[in-house]
Amino acid sequence: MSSTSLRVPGETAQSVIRSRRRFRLGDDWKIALLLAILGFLTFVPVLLLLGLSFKDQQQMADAMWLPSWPLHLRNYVKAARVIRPYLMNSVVFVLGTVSISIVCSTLSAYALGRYDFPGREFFYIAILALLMIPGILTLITTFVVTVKLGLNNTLFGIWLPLAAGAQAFQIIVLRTFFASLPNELFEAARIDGARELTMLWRIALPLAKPIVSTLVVLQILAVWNEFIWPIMVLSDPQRYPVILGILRLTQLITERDPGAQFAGYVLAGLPLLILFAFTSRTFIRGLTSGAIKF
Amino acid sequence: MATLTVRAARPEQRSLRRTARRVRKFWFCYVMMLGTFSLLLTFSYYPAVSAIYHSFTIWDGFRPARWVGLQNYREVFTSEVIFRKAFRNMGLLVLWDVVRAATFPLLGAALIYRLRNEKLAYVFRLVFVLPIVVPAVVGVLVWKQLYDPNVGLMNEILKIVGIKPIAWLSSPSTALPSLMLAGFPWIDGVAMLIYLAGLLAIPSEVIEAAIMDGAGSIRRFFSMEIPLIIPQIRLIVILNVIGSLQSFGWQLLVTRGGPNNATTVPAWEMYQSAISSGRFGVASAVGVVLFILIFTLTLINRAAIRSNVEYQA
Amino acid sequence: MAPTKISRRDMLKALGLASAGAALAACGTTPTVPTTSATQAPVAAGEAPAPTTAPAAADAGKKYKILHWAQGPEPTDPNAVLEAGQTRRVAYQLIADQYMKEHPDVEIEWYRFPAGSNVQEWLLARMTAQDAPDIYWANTEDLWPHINKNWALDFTEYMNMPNPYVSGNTAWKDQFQDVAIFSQTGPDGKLYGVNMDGAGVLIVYNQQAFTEAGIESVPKTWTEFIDAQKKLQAKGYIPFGANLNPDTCCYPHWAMAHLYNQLTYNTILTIDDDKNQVITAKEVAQHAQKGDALDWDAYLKVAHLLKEWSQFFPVGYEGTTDYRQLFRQGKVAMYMEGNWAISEFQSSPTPFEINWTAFPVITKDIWPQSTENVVRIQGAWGGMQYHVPGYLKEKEPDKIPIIMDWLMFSSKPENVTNCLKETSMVSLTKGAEAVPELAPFNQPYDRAVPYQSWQTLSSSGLQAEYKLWQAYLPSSMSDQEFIDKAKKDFDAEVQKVLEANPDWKV
Repeated sequence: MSSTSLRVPGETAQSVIRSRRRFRLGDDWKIALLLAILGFLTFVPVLLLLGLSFKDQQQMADAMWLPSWPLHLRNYVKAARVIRPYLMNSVVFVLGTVSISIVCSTLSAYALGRYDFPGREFFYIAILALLMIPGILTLITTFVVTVKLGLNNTLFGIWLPLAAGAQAFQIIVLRTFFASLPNELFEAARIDGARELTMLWRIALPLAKPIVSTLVVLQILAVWNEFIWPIMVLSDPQRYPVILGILRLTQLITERDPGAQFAGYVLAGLPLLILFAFTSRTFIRGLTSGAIKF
Repeated sequence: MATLTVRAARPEQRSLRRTARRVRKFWFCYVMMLGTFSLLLTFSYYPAVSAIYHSFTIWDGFRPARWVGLQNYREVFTSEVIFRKAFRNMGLLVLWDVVRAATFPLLGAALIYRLRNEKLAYVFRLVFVLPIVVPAVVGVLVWKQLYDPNVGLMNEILKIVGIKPIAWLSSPSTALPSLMLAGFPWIDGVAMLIYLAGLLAIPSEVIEAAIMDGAGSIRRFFSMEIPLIIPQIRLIVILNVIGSLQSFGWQLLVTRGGPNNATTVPAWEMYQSAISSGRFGVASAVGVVLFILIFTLTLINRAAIRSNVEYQA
Repeated sequence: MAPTKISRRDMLKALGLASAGAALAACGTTPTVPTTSATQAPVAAGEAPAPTTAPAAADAGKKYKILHWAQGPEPTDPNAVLEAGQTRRVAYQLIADQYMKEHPDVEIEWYRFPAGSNVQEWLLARMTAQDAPDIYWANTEDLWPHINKNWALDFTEYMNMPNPYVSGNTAWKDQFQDVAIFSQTGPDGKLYGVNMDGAGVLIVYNQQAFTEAGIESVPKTWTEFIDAQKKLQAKGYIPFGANLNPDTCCYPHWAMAHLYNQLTYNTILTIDDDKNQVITAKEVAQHAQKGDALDWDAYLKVAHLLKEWSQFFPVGYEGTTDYRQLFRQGKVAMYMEGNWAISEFQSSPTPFEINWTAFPVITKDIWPQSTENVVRIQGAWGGMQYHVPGYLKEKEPDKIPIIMDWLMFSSKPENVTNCLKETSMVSLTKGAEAVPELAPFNQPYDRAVPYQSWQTLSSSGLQAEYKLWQAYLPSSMSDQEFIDKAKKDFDAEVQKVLEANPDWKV
């Protein structure tokens, strides 16, 4: 059985890119110009955010939207000082939630995607239905459950419900991916006597790396920016994630400072930016592997 | 001679036995799903059912719930604010969200798809996806500043051009359009990449054939590329519908549903009924209606957006 | 790939599970007392105040820790780095230190309210989880919903006890002015909290702007007031800062309170059934059922006056204009503000001189029935409105006397005075003095407004009334349309209150 007949998602994309030079698709520069304009417009809010983050009160009163000198780095110093205690909290929230969530959803998606077991359709529909339940409908009742389990103001009270909420989307995407893997890959291993979990670990997961990375990055972003749930669950403000710590710069009399608030948002986004710098290739590859569809 | 009469089992017995056998064969599947389903049962299904139950009661979260049957639903459907204003606003917003999600990122993807230089293509993929690093909250707050009627950039620009300042989010007539306008040019990086993936999956032979037939760039776009990425379009559309029907971030952070209910949506009314008025029964009723709406729209989405040329990647 | 058909059996299975779940849900609706599980959570730099003596572990067997959300007089976080010109608040910390010295078995810790949180949402979450601070702040008009949900502990027993820290005191409640007691009285007549300070509302104005616009004397009547605003507008200022956003404090219902109470000066107290000079939610709800809760003619007049006034508001007033920021930038000439802002203006002063003036009087030429009396919003909306969570009665009953003792100590007149020096609030504790800068707020007035607009009914009522103004002020609604809408919205709010309090139905 030659490997060229196996079609793994994403493989076609690679071959197309290589052979694209044969096409005459028009002048690149026109397209690039249009894209550059659109890209700039997309970036404008980010640029404005940066501009505002360097202003003090007086500069904001005079000319809010134009860059003004001198750049007040002390906004960043102040913001860093205020949000630093909360950074670790966010990191812990992200690590726990993403680990629990990805492990559970990968296992379930693999089972749902590759084995025709009784109830498979039913479970899948049940998971799909979850996506359609408005989050706000279950906010209070989920909180009551969390309290009843004694998980309020604890890490598990953050990890478990957030992981539960991410299951539906992750399972749907991963299931489609696992189901699209060609059977031949597994048949060979099964003949050799490999066990089911081994096949998941050795065959399916390595192939799923791009898509799993994408889901991981997406979830990190979601958990990092989540503020509604932590505000309810955590009664001790010292345990707040960074996104809530920034609010101190908007409210407290001693700390209220719009320039520093914007600086705080920039700083809160920096870890994500760094994460992105390292993972963007894989992230983009995961999204463009063609496995995400409905 | 003894005859062995094998009594044929009835069909239900046969399939039950077969099912039992399959359950035993695939026992590990159930084990693999244990983690997910214990999470989901505790934190998703039970709360959902509890909320649905409470939609038939009057409940403030602390005193015992009083059963009132369909009273909350009647209130939802006869309320001028909730039923007419909120659902109408939501309808417009969802419609716009769908159009927006199906058009602009697709445009961006199609443009990148046509770039010959690979490095340039990669740069632009990065450019459009980078803004997701900025929290959505921040985006909303920046646009709130932009829209400020007295010091916002939008009115500054209008002042320069010589047009009278618009109240943007602060006037009932312009608030909803301002909401829709925010986020220009609406190219969501993730959606764009998903579309791009679909485009890249089109086999080169098909493209080559079309080019040899003399099909121009635009013609290829409409009659070939779009039909071939229908599954991606469907996914983005349904995700946007689901998200849009539930979202109330703008209302929570900026407009509070106003001014004068101009930007209220059912999700926001739900939140207000629960938190500000302490009426969880009514809030749950609105939520249940939303759920039924989302469910119906999902089914319609799958049935309606079809293509004859759907290609199994 | 994805299934397109759901077999009937699968559907039935799903429904079966759902109904089983529903039955389960019906059983468990009230949260039980949770057991807090110890999980490793990163803790930032501690904020416990440094006790002046180490707790004497020998004698008092049990150590009580009181978590107190002090709100107004909350001492500045010892870790906070202050800007130039900002003062550190220490008064309440010193009071706590002295208390802890006298009571080594008690530790007072300050709860730092999460910045940016909405008090209602926060309370809901904390009361559900039963992990609220032992003493919390809440505004007086939210009292009846809190009592209904057992969020507020009954103080009556302690209010009738003598305060051991105040010589000659036979009942704690005697220490406070009447309005403080009334605002903590629930519909059942019991007391549910303690109010040590209060707030007043005046109009703060930019003296420089007034001089530039040629306004020689501060306007006293409505006509003079409109006149002054025209002059300011001609000079390029935004005369009055206002918006109709329920999250910004608090223009619409302050304006309404002043105007409506002036116009109905002689008749408003007829619905004050319990004769305590304060109109309560119960009184409004009960009179609404009889049809005489509001004087709709006066209400319409208020609407007209507000409409006349709205031409002087900033652009975008129907939404969320930040008029306080515009005032500091010198663009807005005046706005209504509470006395708590005095300490803010002291710690970060404006580049121009500011002054305070009373709300203008409606004269007979505008409203023939006017008695031309001066009304003032002055009442128990201070920074020291303290309540205790109701669940403590079951959860930690032996802590309650300790908490009350600490509150009694806090309410010593000299202690309240020291707090007031920092917060610049109005004193509601007899013997405690307010800062001299509050002199404008001590100017004589005829009556403190008894009726606070639809806010008296409920916070949902407040939102509804704000929406009414959002609909009316920028529009060309006719008088009849306005009154019809107002009556309809008011009735809906009354119905919601009656739904939550069926025993208020007549």
